[in-house]
Amino acid sequence: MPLMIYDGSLDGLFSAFDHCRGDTVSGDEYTFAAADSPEAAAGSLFGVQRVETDFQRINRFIDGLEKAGGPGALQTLVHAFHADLSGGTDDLYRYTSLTLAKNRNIDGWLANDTVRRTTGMARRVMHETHRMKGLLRFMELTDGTFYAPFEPDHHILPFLAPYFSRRLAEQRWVIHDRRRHLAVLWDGSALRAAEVDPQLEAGLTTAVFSRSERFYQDCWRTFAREVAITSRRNPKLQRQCMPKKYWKYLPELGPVTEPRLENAVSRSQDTPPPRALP
Amino acid sequence: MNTDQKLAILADSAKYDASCASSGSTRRGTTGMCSQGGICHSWTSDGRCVSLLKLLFSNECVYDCAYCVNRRSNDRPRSTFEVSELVDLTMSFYRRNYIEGLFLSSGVWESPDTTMTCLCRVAEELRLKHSFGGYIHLKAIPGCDPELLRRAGRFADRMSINIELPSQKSLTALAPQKNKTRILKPMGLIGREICESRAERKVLRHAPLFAPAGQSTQLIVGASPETDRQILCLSESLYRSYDLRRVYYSAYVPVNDDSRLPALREPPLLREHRLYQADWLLRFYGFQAEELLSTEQPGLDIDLDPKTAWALRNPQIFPIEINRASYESLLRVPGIGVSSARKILAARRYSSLTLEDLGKLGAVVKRAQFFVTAGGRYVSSRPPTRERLRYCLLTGNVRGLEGFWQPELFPMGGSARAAYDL
Repeated sequence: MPLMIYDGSLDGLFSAFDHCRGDTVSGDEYTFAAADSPEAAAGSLFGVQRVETDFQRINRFIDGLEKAGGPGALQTLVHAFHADLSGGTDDLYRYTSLTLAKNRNIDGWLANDTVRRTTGMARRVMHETHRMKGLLRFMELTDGTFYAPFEPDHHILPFLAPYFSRRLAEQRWVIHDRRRHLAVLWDGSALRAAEVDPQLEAGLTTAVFSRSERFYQDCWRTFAREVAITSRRNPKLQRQCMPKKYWKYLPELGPVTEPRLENAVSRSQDTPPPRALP
Repeated sequence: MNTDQKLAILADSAKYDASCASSGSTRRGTTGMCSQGGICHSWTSDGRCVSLLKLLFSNECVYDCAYCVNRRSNDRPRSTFEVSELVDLTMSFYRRNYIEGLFLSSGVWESPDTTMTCLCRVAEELRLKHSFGGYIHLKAIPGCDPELLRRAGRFADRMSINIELPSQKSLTALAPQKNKTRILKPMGLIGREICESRAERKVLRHAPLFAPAGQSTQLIVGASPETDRQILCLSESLYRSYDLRRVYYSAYVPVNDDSRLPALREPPLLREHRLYQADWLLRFYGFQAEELLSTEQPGLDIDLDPKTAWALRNPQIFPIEINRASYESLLRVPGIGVSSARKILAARRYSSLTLEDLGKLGAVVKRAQFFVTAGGRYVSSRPPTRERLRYCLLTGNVRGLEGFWQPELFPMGGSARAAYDL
């Protein structure tokens, strides 16, 4: 099983897939690893090959995939890639080979394990994106920018950013993925992505919140408390719909103050990243 | 009284209105937009979702309905918002992504017209002054001027008017100041305006919107003696005649000491849950109310969901072959829902499905296995009796099917018979 090393981005992966397509070795036998991952460093008994990111290859690959499986196949692939699960990319290659071999969209073929796992990964990403559209909370800073930290399981920042640029088009905001140290900024007209220095993350305190921010957070807490019907109390259902892993940055479940944000940073370094589906 | 104190009183007063949806509209504004499917932003400690800022404009009320916490004869803190205060709260919460929009109801303060005018002013200021594109759900106050309803519908995404009690008799006993006509007349008006607006927009794309997410209503369950059958028949006729999007069922929460009301220790949550399951069957599974309940059996089964109870009463239809059945037949199998049925139809184009595949597709095999065959194979070697099947469904135990043979429940034919060597 030759190990194909790509640069870690979606473009790099597509280049690697296109490279493998030309090969006569059967599709099941390839494994893939991002350039800076431990799998790449470990190498493989069956040989290692580096693939350069090449835009001609990418375009050829996308055209071929869309012709075979339609735009749905490409959407499934893109979403499943962002699941950020170790070992997931091998399944993506098998899914691509199957789509090209059958020359149709195979998302309905859930009896096949590869298709089931790949569409499962894509669905997880779409599900978490939808959830975070509701659970992301912005906090107004002293300079009028709205700041929203979160720690998602999957790499959903590229899907959230365009959504909020349409929804909150008139305000400056920053969405910060504290697990991956990435952020997206919107200044009212354009989106910009940035990498965040982990050292700086610990420096966020309530001193940077605007004066009215405290007032609105208190109002929101009052509302969330009063609107619950005590004779229907069901904390199990609450946790089922809104897992505890998301509670860290929700003002209605406790004050988002300095100690919690600091704990958030140290805790996020302890939590291991999610693993691929069985 | 400051804003936080008013918010505490008026949120506490608004919480018994079950309506929570923020779906059905694709409105866009300068600040904000609606999401077609709706978005849940939070969940309260009672497990219900919060997607809208659910408030009363005022909890002062001239009516004295027996079941209501805000009734005139209750001694509780009363408050009323200023229009600007409420608009500011809505915009600030929206900017922080706490909410999809506003759900605004009110006690009847002074008169229905005065109250409805205040609700309209809040919606107008949000839409016209702040170009708010988020979701607004406005309650229609029964008895107000029809022009005010037309004004409200231009700015709201959804409107609703609560029927509360399922019959005129109960209304007379528990809410004598309300009557059926004063509730159904505005419902009819809103329904007609929605229809006209939709027809106009088919011809002129930019014709004005009127409550694009439709209208809904609420029924209180357990405060009055009506049966499940009466409630379901009422819901069915409301969906048919008024084209409602949703009927909400709210388990009666005993908040007042009143001899006209039943002395319940806790709200009838299981009954509410069964009614919602039956409501889903009416809307998405092609059932009629008279199939689920009858005069001989006017109450929904406590132990089993309505579809399973129906399946046990109608053994002549089962077992269904999952590789050949139509979508409508698959929907009738307990344990197979709308998305599982769609997945079955998609997956069987590639290969024949087994019972194990059914599980992979997300159907509840524990229930469905007793009502289907996969490639002619049934889960047990012997067809079951109704009592054994009911026992197996309640305990999840397949082995309960084997045992003393009784006259068969399912009339088997052809290939299925061959599988049993009968």
